[in-house]
Amino acid sequence: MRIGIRILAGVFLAWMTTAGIASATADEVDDLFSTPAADAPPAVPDNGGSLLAAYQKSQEKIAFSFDLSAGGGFYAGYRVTPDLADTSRNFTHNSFGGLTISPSIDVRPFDYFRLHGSGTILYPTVTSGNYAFGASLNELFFDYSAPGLLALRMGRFSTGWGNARILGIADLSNRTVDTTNLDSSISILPAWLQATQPSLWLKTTFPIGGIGFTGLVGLPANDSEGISSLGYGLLTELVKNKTCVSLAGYYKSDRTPRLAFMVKTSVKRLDLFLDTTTSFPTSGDPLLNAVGGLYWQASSGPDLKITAELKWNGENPTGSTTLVPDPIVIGGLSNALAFSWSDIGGSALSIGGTWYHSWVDNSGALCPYVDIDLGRLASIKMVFPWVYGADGSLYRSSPPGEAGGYVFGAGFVLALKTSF
Amino acid sequence: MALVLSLACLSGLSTAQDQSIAVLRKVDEKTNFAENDFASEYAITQVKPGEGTTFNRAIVFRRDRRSQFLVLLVEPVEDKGKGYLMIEGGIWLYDPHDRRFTFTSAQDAFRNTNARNSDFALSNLAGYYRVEKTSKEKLGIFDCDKLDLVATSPDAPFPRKSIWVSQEMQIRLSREYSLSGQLLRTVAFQYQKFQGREVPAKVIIIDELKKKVIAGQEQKENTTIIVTKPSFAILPSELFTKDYLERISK
Repeated sequence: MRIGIRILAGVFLAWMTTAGIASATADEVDDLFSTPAADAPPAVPDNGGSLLAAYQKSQEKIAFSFDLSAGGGFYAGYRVTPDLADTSRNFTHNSFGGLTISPSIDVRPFDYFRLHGSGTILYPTVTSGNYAFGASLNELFFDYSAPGLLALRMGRFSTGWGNARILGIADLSNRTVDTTNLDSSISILPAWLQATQPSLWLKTTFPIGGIGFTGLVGLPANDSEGISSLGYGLLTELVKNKTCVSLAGYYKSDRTPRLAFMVKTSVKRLDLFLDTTTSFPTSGDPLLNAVGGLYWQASSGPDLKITAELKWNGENPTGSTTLVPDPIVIGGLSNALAFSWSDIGGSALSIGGTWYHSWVDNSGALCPYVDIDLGRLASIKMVFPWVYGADGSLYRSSPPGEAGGYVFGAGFVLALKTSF
Repeated sequence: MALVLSLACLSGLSTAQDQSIAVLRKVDEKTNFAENDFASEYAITQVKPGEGTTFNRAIVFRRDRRSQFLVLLVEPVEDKGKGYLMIEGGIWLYDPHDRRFTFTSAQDAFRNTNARNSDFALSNLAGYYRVEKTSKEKLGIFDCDKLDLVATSPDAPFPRKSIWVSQEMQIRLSREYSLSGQLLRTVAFQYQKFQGREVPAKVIIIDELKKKVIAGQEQKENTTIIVTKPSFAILPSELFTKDYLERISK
């Protein structure tokens, strides 16, 4: 009987193999086997050059673009712990909205040179009361590639070091600059997904053998800062097969010097990473920070992404004792877990969220969201923040940005965005 | 080729294995561009039954002799400038929005299509697989040898696969299986002649696991790649660096 079943299964499998392309594309697949290879048309008929040359030629010497975003929304809920006996007490709300135009310019006179600038014109500059136009410069930098794979970038731009995205500790250079949020797009994004704000840098990169070197100089941000305020950083990266090992250091006279060691690899399609930093306070022993984490993305099936991070912040171990002047706020042991499920079942609906938790005082935040895509230009996003813990606890004092300053509530935004 | 394998079977197992590896090397040689750099434009259309179609256009630059590639997205407009750079066996993803590189070796689906990042990389069948069984089959006008392969390296993209190799030593059809024998993907190739050799013209990738019954008919998720504007022109070495990707992007 078993043998009979096996034979039947074998016949079925054989039929499946021959009929395996029994889908809407079967004819298309068969077509591929019906004719011999034909001659390919020339790649670039006008000059016979390479596709790269054609691509470079297609890039205009001067190109302008504009991003336009508009929208608005509101947060409603409680900025302090709600009183369950009187739910209307302390209930509050605020609205926000506006219109932003982000022009940018790219000048590429030569293959080895590029000038890029972008800015934002915003109306209104303040969410309520003051209806004035505001303007800011986001990026302004030039790129120069010298012979021998040496590359230079100077100006105002953003940088980012380290593997951890939520509880990042190894982005040493950005911890020394003012990263006041200039992101004017009208949306509710998890804090860790927001782009790093640009600052003034001189960056050079050059490979030596299989090792990539990046040198970074933090430039004075205002007139009062001189040569002594420059910051100096170096990042080295070695990639071998599935593993990337990085070593970095950053020094600025008025900040704590730090070294970072980072490694990332993958096991069974799971990205694993470890970022560590060592801080050198003016007195006392060096202090260690470390973040270990993983990232997984479904390679087939639903569009799922999950990341988890566990951090030890030894610069600020109890959350109250600061041994260095510029520690990361959430001290001691903490963790974060984030997931997203996009375009569920092919629909316009996406869900996700981030959970932050401090093991020092058991405070944390839970920020689930729902995203509805209304076509190419519009989207609705809703977030339902819940920041827990005692008054004055770590996450109550420093809640994630997407909570909008609310301990418990809901945020809603309708955003329209287009480029031209 | 079948004759070579048959003779090999008669002359002992180790010789058969050697001959099998030699055959796979030949296929690798035909698939890879060891002598030249290669560049082409890929139009990638992803069809999800009942969900619609998505389109990506990318420029692919390959330097197979150093196992390097750069995939630069040019469409859709909102993703223009995103890039995938493979150097030293690892892949860097660059997003011009936050001007940040992310290193990964685990994300193998290319932009949630049925294509995998490994589809753009150097073919290494001889290094990853051994031939378990051979047979002859005809695919359309092509007389093919079907080779059933079993992975010998954990780095192999699939534990098992079958390839149909035509007399020109080109892979015409590939079926990729899980360890348990579950068919995962079917990949069919059409070639075009360019400067004395054949390069891919059209590739259809069928995901055998993602299927839906629509109007009483089973439809599988699939991706079609149309390869145009092939070029063997020498590419600058700086192309395969993070800085170049950063500079050429938006």
